[in-house]
Amino acid sequence: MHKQVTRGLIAFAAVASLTLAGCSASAPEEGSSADDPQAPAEITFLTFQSPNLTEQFWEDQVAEIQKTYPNLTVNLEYTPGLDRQDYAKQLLATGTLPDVIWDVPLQDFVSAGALLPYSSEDLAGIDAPEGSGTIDGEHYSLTVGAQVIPLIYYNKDEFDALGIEEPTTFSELKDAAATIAAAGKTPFLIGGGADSWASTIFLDGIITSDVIAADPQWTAARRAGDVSFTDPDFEAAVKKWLDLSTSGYFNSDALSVDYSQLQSKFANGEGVMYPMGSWAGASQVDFNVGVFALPSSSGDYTLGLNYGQALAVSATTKFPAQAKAFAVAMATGQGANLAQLKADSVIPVAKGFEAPTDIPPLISKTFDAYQTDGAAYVEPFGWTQGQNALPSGFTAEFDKGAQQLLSGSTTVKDFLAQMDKTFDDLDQG
Amino acid sequence: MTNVLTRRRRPGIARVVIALVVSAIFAIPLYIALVNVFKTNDQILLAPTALPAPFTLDNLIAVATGPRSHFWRNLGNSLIIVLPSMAGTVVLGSTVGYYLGRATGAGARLLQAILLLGLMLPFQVLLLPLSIILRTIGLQGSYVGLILFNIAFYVPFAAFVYARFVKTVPFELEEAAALDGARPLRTFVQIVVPLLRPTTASVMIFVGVWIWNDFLNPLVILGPGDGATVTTGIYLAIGQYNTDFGTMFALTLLAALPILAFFFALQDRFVAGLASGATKG
Amino acid sequence: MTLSTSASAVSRASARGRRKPRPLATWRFPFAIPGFVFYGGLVLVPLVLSFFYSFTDRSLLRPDASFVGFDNYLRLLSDPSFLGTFGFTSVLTVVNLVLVNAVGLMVAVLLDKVGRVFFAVRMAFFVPVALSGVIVAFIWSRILTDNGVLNSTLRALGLGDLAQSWLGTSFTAQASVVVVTAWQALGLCIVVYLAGLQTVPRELLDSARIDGCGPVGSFANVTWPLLAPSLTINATLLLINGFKTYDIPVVMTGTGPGGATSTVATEVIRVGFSLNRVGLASAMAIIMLAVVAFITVVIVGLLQRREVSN
Repeated sequence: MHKQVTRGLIAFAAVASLTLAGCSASAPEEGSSADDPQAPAEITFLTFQSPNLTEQFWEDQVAEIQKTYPNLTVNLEYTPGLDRQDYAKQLLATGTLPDVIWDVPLQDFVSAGALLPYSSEDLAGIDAPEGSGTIDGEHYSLTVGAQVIPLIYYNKDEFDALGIEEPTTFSELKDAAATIAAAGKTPFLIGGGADSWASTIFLDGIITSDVIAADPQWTAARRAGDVSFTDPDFEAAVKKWLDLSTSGYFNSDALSVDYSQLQSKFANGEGVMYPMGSWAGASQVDFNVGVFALPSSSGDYTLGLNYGQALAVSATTKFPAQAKAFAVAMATGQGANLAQLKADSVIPVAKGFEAPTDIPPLISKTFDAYQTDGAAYVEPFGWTQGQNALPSGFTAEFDKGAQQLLSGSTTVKDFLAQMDKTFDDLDQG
Repeated sequence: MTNVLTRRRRPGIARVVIALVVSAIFAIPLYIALVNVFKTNDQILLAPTALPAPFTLDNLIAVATGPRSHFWRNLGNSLIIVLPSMAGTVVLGSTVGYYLGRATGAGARLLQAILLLGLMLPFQVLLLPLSIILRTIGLQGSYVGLILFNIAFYVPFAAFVYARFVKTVPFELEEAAALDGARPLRTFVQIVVPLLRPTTASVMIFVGVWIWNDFLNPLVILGPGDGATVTTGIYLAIGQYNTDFGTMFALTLLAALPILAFFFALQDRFVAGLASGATKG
Repeated sequence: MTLSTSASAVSRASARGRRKPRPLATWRFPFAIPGFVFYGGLVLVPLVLSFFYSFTDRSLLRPDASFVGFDNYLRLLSDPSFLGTFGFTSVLTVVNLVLVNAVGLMVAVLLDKVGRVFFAVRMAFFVPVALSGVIVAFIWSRILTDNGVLNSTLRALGLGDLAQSWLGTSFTAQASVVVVTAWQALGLCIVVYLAGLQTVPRELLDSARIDGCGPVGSFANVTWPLLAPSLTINATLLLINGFKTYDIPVVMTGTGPGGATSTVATEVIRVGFSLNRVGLASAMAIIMLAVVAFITVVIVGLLQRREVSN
């Protein structure tokens, strides 16, 4: 009987979603103009605001694109808070997904049939690695550029005052932290609060350089059961990070300051080193800032590159051609790319992009750190979209567990065992 | 109840002092919220508890008139949502309450229990099925959808408050009207409704405050577009301008003022309504 | 009209020989129809849907789901993370219930006087009632952060040892959420008690004084029993609102650190919309609803019996 009712409900839901699909699909698009990206259209673009990416920035991006597509009207909408992925999912679930969306949880959206794939022409202008944004051979997400997860930004004035050189191995990094702590300063700034990813971005970097570096297909191997979170290399990486915390090298309010507060703590000189994504290259501070790549234990450099700053097009858009043209223009337009670079320190991936000579110094240093000699590039742990992504919702669970580690309410062994369980559980969908 | 105010004797000085101290401690957060509206960001960071000297209106001006200010648009949206929701809740809640206050049978008790469920419900659980329903009837993403849901969600509360009061209205009044040949609807409108005024003030305050302050429903039902309300606007601002404290404090003050004004305008009758409800259960 | 006509049970009214309103009751039913249609369509139907979801493995993004019996419930009842969340929500609710009631009553008695001072002071307590949880959480986060008002005040008072990361460790963050929700709930509780106090007849207090009762005695013998209906209202509101707590942990602590301040309501959203597990999230909400309904019925039943016995 329950089964019948369930089936009834499913039928009801199916009718509901068909109704929706029906009304979107039935929108009258006269003949060929629907395929013409220059035809008049009005699309909605859902994105987010951060201290770097302000409302003004997005309006300028739209204006830049409208130079090429003057008949395109774009309504900008913003997610509440930085957590755009969950909000996009809410909108998808409630049937109000905008036409173009910034940074969606790709796996979920593709399995729900919510996105249109890009064609090879759409992708022609982008030089991003195969696999990022791809699911089952189709490309659903068009990246505007790469972000390094993380780089270590630091207060150069403090380094100089304490006589610290840029560390090139992890033990030098620890020594630097010890020197800073001995001087009564906070070595590392870590965040939390509503942005739990800010608690783990440093840990993600350590895992990337120590675990993913050795096995770039780690997630697939984990899925197949060939590796586990409790393996010695993973455990060692987590312990390395936790040791820094137990040595008192993190700010005491690490778990309660959200990202924008964390950013202003660094700007106020409340901590010396700031492990953060390469977008921190756009920080405005009134002291000298340097940046270096996170060295592994052996002194190698393996940088995690996140291509999640990307645009997806809704399957229910009335204007697929125009929506895709908008996305392509934002990802490859020289003017748009330049603004992204200046505002958010994005590393452009558009073919033929020419970096201007007047790049702000910290962004230029960020590029240098990104191009550290001998660096290898992989997909960063916890920040990967597409076929190598962790199961939906896993990252949040991982962040939560890592916060519990920091607050001392769990042990490394329990945490990792729990992560194995969570991974298997969430991986079933 | 005529001697409500006269019965109380003049307070002793000790009581005045204690009352002032207790309320001062309680009101510290409010003081902080208020003084920092009139300070620059540096002043706030340096001395959050100090009085605003030098005094600045820049934060308020920026929030009220700045080019990025959505305050007035959001205020309009909030009013578009709150006023019809409140009116609908009062009308439907009072009629249901009238029925509940007079009915006695097992059926009425069952309906009462079903309504009670609605009071205890965390509405978060309704979001997904609700949006499926709203989508089916074409109201997802619309003010109408949100207003209809608000009414539906707060009818139980309003009905209970009204029912408690209706029980205190002498039944004889209605019987007399019925004997005079008044139809039920007329009896309700002419005899009962005028007596419900203080109760209506209570209901309006509760429901108005709840809907004004709601942020999850507007976010999910209305979506991220132009439909931001004052409260969702603040939620968004906290995520993005958390460190621009002057602006944040100014925004919270402006967001709170309309609902506070409403609250205090009605609070006398609110207390009276509660008093009647509280004693006559 | 006497105070003892209180309490909802209409049957008592009839038992006391009042005329039964039954003959007119039936034709009033149409009055209830419009309200019930709204409530039924937009609250009951979704609730029933949720109830059925809770027995399925329904996912957020795909409508296909299969029946899994009580799996979701069994899973939750053995999931330490959910039990932790449930525990915190319960503690928050109980502390609010006891603390806010006690403090609210004391403040109400303190403020039950005429005069401008008392009027102004009452206003101060009412303000948080009208503020949104989002605003309250923002204001308090300025007080509780590491370089916030609380810590700097402690240091200024030479109590620097007590300064700590209030929102940064599990226990202090939980305590902070409890205190802030209590702070916000206090005003309404005071309003209700003040309203109740206004109805205490002066003659009764006078005669208690003549009988030799001190202030404490007359409070215990006269005022407190007459406040029984107010207590019922406050207990019900605090209980229901405590279990529904959502805004303050979401905005003030992001339900952290490590999920320490997540409540059932925040988990329903996280599990449903972030982990995509609508079935599981629905089961959480149903468990909570069942618990709240049970406790409310028991407590309200007890309190109303007390009202009657007065």
